[in-house]
Amino acid sequence: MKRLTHRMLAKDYVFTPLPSLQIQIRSNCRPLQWIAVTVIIALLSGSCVGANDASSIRNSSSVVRDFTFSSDPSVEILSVTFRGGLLHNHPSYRIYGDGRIEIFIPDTRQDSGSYTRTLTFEEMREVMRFAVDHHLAESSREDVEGKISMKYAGNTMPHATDGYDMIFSIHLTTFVRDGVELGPKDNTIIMHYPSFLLRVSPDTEEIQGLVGIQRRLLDLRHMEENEDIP
Amino acid sequence: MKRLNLCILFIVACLPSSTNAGTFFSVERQIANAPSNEEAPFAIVHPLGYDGTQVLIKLDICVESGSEVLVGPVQRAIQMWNQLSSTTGNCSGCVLWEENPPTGLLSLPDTVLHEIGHCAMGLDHPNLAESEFDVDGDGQISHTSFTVSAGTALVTDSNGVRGDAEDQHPFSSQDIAWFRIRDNNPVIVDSIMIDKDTYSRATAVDLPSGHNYAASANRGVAGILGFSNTQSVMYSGIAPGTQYHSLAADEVNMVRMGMTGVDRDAGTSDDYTIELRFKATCTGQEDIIARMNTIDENPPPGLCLADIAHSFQQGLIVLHWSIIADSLLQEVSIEFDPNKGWDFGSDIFFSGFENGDFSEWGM
Repeated sequence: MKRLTHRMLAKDYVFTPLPSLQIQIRSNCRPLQWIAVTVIIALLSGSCVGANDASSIRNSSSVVRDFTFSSDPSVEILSVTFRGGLLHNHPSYRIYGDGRIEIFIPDTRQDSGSYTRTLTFEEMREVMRFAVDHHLAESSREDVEGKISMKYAGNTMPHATDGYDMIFSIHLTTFVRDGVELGPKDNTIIMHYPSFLLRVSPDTEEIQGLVGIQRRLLDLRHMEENEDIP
Repeated sequence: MKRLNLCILFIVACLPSSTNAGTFFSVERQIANAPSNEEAPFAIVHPLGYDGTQVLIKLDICVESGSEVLVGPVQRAIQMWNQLSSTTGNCSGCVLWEENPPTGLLSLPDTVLHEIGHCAMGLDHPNLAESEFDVDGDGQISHTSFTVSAGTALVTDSNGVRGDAEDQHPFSSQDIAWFRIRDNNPVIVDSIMIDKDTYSRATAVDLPSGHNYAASANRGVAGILGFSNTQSVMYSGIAPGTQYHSLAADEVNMVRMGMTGVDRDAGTSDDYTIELRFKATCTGQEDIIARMNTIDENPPPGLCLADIAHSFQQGLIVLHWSIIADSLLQEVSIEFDPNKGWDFGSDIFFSGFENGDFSEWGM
């Protein structure tokens, strides 16, 4: 069976998390041969999932998280923006269902402009899985601050003055935790300067996730710089 | 390195106190965290080590090995804060929040000056409530002045200047900035004695007639008050090309307010002075470490990492707090982005290097 890349598909697609066989199937299934393939795959996997990717995560706490996300190019599935600090010209990153990542650098910076990268499906899934695995689809700022403040007398939060806030948002089409369907999931976390929080609370998974996401986005931004499309 | 108990600072709500429109360190998070008996935003924050008894507070600031580019800027900042002298017209290239800054290099000496104002002098941003303040604790910035909040119901303003006396504060219970009772002028330099009788943060009671807001020491407000190119070095934004030639009245008066000591009256026996001292190398005994930040992912241009605690045992209302080391990091540090395109200024080596007098280097 031909392995199709994400870029080649114009419609929503289906993936089954089979380590040895991953086949992308058109969700409309019109051609007869696609119907046959679908049946075969369904029999093999025991399911026929919906129009999005499904990934199962088993993390260190043995909680299994399954999720799907949209492949609609108009749907923003993940975004990272920043605010505050001494400099107010922060970049923003938005990932859409078709793998497009839009990077905006304000015009007050020397590297200003709008940049587009395209993620493969595997890259998208990895980013989303990383975020979900680090509880970024579920936790709130208060949850994270609760974990960190416990380490300080008086249950207070540390603060990096002149650090910036990181605003992380994720949109999942479906979210299942330990077999419980939780429906669509939209979550936004605003944390003040997660890099500093990682120093004082390196074991907080959400902070690991936020810093990791930031690192990945920086890597993407600096990749293929000669191929920028302003 | 000196240590103190850990807690958080800010407060001085109940009693009228004096400074102009500055704020003390860490005020924004304290509003969210303060227990009911500690009116966090209104604390006076004193330098590291203050316990209510000192008449002289000495703070050693060292430059970590590998960060020698900070030597000149740190020494310059120490000299300026030790002199505690203010002028009008202190700023060139100052850019307001609502203005687009130019591209170019950021001044390392002035960023260092700003961060030492936080970590050594216990100050916060005078424009806090105007630009980056979460007054209602919902995690979102609450813009309280014109321009950014234009078109909303938050402020009414006739002259388009953010942070002037006309501004309406949407959260009347959150007085966080200090002002001169006499004239609510945050930038004027005169001989007025700074203490609780001449400065307040109680906007409902002590603002001059017709004033709604503790005027901010930003360039725009200073301009309509008749002082061009004047801005607090503690203003929360710094832009390429911004240079501070001296301190402004706002930060000097905030420090002087703290120096009035426990009774907050100037000229009494509990007043103290502050002496910052430069140390060329860090031995672990210094109070504040200056370093280039090679630790964090994508660091900001400058950072102050510190915490606050009660200065001494106080009653139900805690007024006095002091800078302390973060209990997990166990240090007070100022840090700077090593990958930033910096303007290092002309003071690569500062004060004594040329004439061989290294006494203030602690060598």
